[in-house]
Amino acid sequence: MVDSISRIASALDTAKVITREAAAVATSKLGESSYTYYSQNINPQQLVTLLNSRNSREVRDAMKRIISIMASDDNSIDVELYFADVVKNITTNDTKVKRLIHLYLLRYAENDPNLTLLSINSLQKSLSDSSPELRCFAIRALSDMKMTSLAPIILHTIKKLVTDPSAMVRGEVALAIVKLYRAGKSEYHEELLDVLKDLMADTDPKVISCAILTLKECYDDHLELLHGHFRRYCKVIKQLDSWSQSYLIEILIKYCKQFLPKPTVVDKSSEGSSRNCLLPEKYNEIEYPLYDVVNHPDLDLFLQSLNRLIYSSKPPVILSCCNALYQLASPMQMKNTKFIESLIATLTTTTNQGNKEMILQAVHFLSVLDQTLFLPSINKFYIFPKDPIVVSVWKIQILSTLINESNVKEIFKELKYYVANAYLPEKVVIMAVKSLSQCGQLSTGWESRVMKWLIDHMESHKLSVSILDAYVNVIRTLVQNNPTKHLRIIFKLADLLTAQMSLADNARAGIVWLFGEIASIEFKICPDVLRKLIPNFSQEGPETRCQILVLAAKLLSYDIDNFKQAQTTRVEDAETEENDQNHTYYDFSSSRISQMYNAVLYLAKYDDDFDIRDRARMISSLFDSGKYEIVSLLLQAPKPAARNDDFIISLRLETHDSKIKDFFKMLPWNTEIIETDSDVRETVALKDYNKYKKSFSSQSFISSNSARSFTSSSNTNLTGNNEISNNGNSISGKSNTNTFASQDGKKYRLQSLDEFFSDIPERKTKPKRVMRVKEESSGEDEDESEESSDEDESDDDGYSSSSLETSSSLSDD
Amino acid sequence: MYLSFYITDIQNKLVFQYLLGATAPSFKHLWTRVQSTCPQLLEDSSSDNYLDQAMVGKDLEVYKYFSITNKLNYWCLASTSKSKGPLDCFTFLETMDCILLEYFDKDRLSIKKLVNNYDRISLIFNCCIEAGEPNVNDFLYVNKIKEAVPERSDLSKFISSTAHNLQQAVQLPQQRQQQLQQNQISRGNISLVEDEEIVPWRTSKTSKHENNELYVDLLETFHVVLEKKKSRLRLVNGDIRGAVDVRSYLNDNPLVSVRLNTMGNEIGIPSLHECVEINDDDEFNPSNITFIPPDGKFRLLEYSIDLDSQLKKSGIRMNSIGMISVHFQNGLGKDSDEFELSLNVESSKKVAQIEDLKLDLQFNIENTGGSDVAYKVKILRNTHGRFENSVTMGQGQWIFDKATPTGTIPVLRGCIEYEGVQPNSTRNIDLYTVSLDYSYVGQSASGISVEAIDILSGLTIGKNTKLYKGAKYKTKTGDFQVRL
Repeated sequence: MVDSISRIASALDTAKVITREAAAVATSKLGESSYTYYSQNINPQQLVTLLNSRNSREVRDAMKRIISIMASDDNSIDVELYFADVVKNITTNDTKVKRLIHLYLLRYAENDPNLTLLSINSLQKSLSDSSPELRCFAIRALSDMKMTSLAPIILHTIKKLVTDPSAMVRGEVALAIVKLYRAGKSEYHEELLDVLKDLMADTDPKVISCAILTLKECYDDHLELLHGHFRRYCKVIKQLDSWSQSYLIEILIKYCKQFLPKPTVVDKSSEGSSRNCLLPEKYNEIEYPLYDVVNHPDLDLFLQSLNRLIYSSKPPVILSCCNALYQLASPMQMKNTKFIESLIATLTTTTNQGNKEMILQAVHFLSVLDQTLFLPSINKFYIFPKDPIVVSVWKIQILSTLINESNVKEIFKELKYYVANAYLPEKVVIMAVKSLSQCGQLSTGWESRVMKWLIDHMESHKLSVSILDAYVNVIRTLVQNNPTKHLRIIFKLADLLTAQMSLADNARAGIVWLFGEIASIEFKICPDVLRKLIPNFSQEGPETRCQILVLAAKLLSYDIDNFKQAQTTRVEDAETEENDQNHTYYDFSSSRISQMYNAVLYLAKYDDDFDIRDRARMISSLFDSGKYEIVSLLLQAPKPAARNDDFIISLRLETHDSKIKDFFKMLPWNTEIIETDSDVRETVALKDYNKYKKSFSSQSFISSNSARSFTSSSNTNLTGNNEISNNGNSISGKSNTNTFASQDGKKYRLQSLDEFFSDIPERKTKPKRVMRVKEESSGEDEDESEESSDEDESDDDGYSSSSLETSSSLSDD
Repeated sequence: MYLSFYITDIQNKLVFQYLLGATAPSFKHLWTRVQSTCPQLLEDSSSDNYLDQAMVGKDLEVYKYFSITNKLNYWCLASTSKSKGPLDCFTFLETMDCILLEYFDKDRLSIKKLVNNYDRISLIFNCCIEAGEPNVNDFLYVNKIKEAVPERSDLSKFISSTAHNLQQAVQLPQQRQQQLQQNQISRGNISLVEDEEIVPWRTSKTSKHENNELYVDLLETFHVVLEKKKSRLRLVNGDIRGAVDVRSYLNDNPLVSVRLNTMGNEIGIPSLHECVEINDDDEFNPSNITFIPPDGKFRLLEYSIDLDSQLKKSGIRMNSIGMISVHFQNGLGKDSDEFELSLNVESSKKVAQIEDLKLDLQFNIENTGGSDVAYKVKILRNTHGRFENSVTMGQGQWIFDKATPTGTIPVLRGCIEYEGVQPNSTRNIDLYTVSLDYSYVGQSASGISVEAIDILSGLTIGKNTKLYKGAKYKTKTGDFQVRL
């Protein structure tokens, strides 16, 4: 026998080399591509034949074809025409075909409710199948059909399967609630809420994950449901699905704000002082330099439980944790945890562009409120050459929030590099220029330093219009803050105007405008500037011409006012209290300024640009009418000091996305918490389905592994209801109880039998809520009878034969 | 709530769509809508108008995620909801991308693969989305998806595995008999735990592997900006981003330990796959990572090393990173219009060659004082590769062959020729920045290495099944720029 095999094998061995090569060819011929080719050639008539075939293989081919058509948005064949042919195949035993039909129904069921009903019967049958996967599939397929007539059936199914032995099925029930809830019909909401309560009390993390989703989607105003589970959820949070983790954190933030008292801040800055206050509503508004925060123990529990998620690979979890600390803790607490570091690490490693932008916005949001959070990692916000524009712009904006005395030198140097770099995109350069003004606002010294550099750079480089605009804007902002201190810069600007005729129109216009504003402070230099501008009026650009006109008008108005002032003082000196009539009028003909004004006006009246002509006429009519008060009101109106957010490059790049704003919206603390004697967060009874699970496997490798904090030996016979505490207050006191990992590697707390029995609450409100203890050795269950009435059906089918074997084999040990 | 998903290629041509209901729009409809309401969505990420999310209707949002590895765009249409976090949609699209990669066990998904597997991918999406939300019922684990959507057993795999089996049968006929018996015995043992999942990401039912294999890939990308200060280089900012990818094809439920030697690097707070075991009070220790691996490919951890803070702490001056150091000088030659650029590719026993080395040179044309100067970069001497002038002003590329052996010192010397300008008038175009682009295999940039891969327990190794373990290192440049 062996001999013959070896002979065949040796032949095949030589053939092996060939087959390997052939395999490559074969995959192309017999593999996926060829199948696709075959499949694409199925025509509509064949499709009907195949769908009605008795051969399951053919039905499968047809279904695959239909799904391919749906997935490729192919309009040549209308797959909806085969509705009846497809749906009747739901009775097949082939699970793949079933799933494919489900896909089909998901898309088309709404369009043909009557024919869809054909499939209900078969699906309902599957609900009591022995395989949990199939039960799961059935409830899923049923609840996916968005038909109002089906709602009672789905509700019935939900109620029936909520006690299913399989955690997967129970989880699916929670998701079915979401679907039924969304389908409308508010009359079911109450009943569904009861089911959800049961699911929330489940011990399986999978079911809790699903229940949290349901809570978030449907009942997010029923936060009181969390009372009995708050502490338990805080402890098991790490075992939940990563999506549910972030959902749960967001829900618990709301819960804490609603039901927990506000933390107290205790002053620690000076010894012996016992000042304290409540945590301010707004972030980073604690006035003590050093402080301690006293939290409600449950709030502490929640905040500590977050620490376990620090290594999460899912960005939403990290961001939610940051939000929790932002909403519920003081800046100091936030810094003590490592979540800021973690957020930056996520930002650095992620390749997901959308996430990167959102995290940058979040960082910016937090950094505006408290710059100290991100000060240690300032280098992270220097841009890299390959950063996309959006990322670069946000990084620079974050940098500008971080500028302070100690790092300004370094940041200024870096920003200068960006500004001077010809290869960076324009928007990035503009943003860097804008951030320079932030450097300048630090002190007068920096103000002049920044301006000097900008002017030097402006002189020596050829810059694009929009960048020049930004330069002038920044210079304007900085000069306006403190004009008297920057006279030298102003002189320099005047030189620039005359020396650099090549300067772009908008930049020149900006500078001319600036002189019009400076006139109120340093009138002396302005007429000279205007004088130098007039000869070249016709060579200037339209914006500059317009500004020259305005400058001339402004100067005249100031001059008239000055004259009047001088008059009044002279009149007052002469102590004549007679009225204006006595005033000598301003002499337009002899005033140099008036002459210049007239010259400009004359030029402007014949300008190409109608806007300039219009303005010239308006201004001249104002002066002609002699109402100088109106003139000075119009022209000398004090301009508000320009703020940085006044000039916005692009709204999209500089405003936080509405989602970030909503996300970090500070929720108010509830100040009217009703204090009750009894602990509302006392842990309620749980629903434990562990008896359906197989018991500990003798082979469990976890037992040999200390990393799973397996402190008690696995031979312990009791798989108790995990996490039932005697009384809710003793969170810290419980730490000495045993914990062990069950077969799925999760940590559970061991309870002694005494503890357990003492725990059966007298005031148990719901007799239906059953707690079970399973003793493996005996395999008996005290509540068996009560339970079996609920679910005879699933009891029969629910035990898969293998699980029975297992328990028996173990009880033999 | 998600309404529909689409996968498109770079040109935004539809590859795959998954619609969750009769009312969800097909891609054609969405496309016309997007074009009319927010065309920025269709732009490339390098454009400044670029958007990756937008409202396309009342309470309807479109999100876009570009997968760099697969060169595919993932889109989803979702209804606006207050309870949705700002990162949820992007993360979910990224997750779907990962799941597809892990499911097909590929390094890259081709469009052909997607087209050939429409039914399978539709089912995968169906598994992952339940009630219009990410399926939190453990269905985002690839092992669960594989259970629900069995993989196709490829004919080539079948043929090769049969041949392999037979070959073994020939070589070790007697041993095989024993092993068969042993296998049966051990299988008998295993079946006790088979139905019970030990961890949600691993099912014992997963396919049996011929051999037990466990490979660790360490991939590092470094982003560094250096600044020339006198003759030395100074770090402006920089970090190394690393990822540890594991491919595990192990039978049973083994507990694996990977020990990394960080060589003194601070890896900050890494993000870990949830299979990594950490006690609540313990900090993560890279020299002892224990986990029960999911079957197939997965990312064990991701870390980033902040070079700035590390250098500040250690006080060491950093002159080079990633095998290559750059030196360049301007103002050489008798007219001082020449520049010289030299690279020093360190010799290493571990790394034989540098792949796809490419240098981008930028000259500061801005310094010309606003006047346009016609000039040309002329290469005088070039030891390796070739130099190409770029279409954009003031840029050039020095492109090397596919592989450059380590231990060489390539030099490029060139001069700037001004056209129609008197000598001595303007000579201020200099080499300004040099950016490098390359990758190599065999060593990580930070020096982090895998010290040991152990299987602590839970793996029964029969006599004919072998255990293969291995570690691989790859380093890539993300940004590597030297400024004047």
